[in-house]
Amino acid sequence: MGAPATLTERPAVREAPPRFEDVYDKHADMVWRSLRRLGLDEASADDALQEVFMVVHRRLDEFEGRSSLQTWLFGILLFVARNQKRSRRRKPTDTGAEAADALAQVRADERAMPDAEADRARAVKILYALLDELSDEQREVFVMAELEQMKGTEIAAATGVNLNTVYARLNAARHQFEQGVARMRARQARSAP
Amino acid sequence: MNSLGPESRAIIDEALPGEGLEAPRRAHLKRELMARIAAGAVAGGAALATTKAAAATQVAKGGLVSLFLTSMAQGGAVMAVVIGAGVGYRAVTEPAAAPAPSVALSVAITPTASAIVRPAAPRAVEEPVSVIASSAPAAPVAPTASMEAAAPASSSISGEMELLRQAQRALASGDGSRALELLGEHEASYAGGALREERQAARILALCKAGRGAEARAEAARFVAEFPRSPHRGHVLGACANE
Repeated sequence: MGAPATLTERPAVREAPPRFEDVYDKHADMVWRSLRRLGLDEASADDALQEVFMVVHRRLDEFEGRSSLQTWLFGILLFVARNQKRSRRRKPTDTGAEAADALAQVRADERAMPDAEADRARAVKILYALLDELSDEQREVFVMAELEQMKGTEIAAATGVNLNTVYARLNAARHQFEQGVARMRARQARSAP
Repeated sequence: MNSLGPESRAIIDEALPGEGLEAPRRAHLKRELMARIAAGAVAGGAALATTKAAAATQVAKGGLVSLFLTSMAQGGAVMAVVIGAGVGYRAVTEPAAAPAPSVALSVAITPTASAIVRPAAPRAVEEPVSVIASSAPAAPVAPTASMEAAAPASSSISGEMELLRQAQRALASGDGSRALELLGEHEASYAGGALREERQAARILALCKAGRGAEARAEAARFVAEFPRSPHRGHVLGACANE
């Protein structure tokens, strides 16, 4: 595989940018679930998804294939998600309480659902409650690294911060997440009959 | 660097299958998005829109929306078309497959409405739209990963938008018959296209312009039955008021 030796050298034949509709069809799921993971509720995620793809539509010609499409999309969706969240104030969290409350809530809900569906809904709520306990910066890095399996360099490109900072945030985020899990378990144990 | 513990990993892995966008919702969002893009395309070269308000304003400044509304000789609601496109789905939190038209709505339209109301047809957004202007890319296209697979349908979207814009221009200039002609062409070429709802709305306005009020009202009733949450609903229902 003869990869280009330098990044500044343009390939003789420039690849046509991917087609907009293909990008939507292939990546809409990833964009939407990432927006949810970043803390937007469903309606906000719907709006933000459209904002993201409005930007994609305008700028697709500028996409040069130097980064992966996913990295490029993440750069846009982080921007849109931050704007969406700017007007909302993060409510202070009683550590562990949100996750445990979510658990209690879905246990009530799930009586009305088939088992498998209830299990999935519960798992998602727990995950989001745990993500809610991270700071926005930690959360972004955590979502990209642990949920989308992106590499450190890709995360650095998407967030615009340097690699060391990415790893520092990721470490902090992992630690915070683990703590959240531990608190949730502790609460569960206490509330068990 | 540390890594995530097994319990955390398990929580994540368990959640993954339950996330994601259900297909009807994805299709709905895509349709709305295409409508917004069609509206925004006329504004041309718009700067990065970071908020819905900003996007709506930009479009309203130079765009099809103002043409659209001028043609109806009732300004005022310039924002509604674009903003409506963004919020239409929010009113219903679950993905409603075939929303039932509300009784209040059908009563409000015209006396003929109740006879015409019918169940909304499933939307055909996901169907590949037919390609007329098979504009093959001029530049040599290197085979890019997985993008080639789904290629055939997508070149028609810009054609679909362009034709609709032409019709709306005709409508804006007061030429209802010409608009109807173009919309007929649009329907023939893009029957199940992404902008079907916009086409139908434009057609109703064009019928009014062409002095075919009775047909317009009948189609308006069908329109609201099929698209009960359409951002164009108000315009469609009031379409013939000034003709």
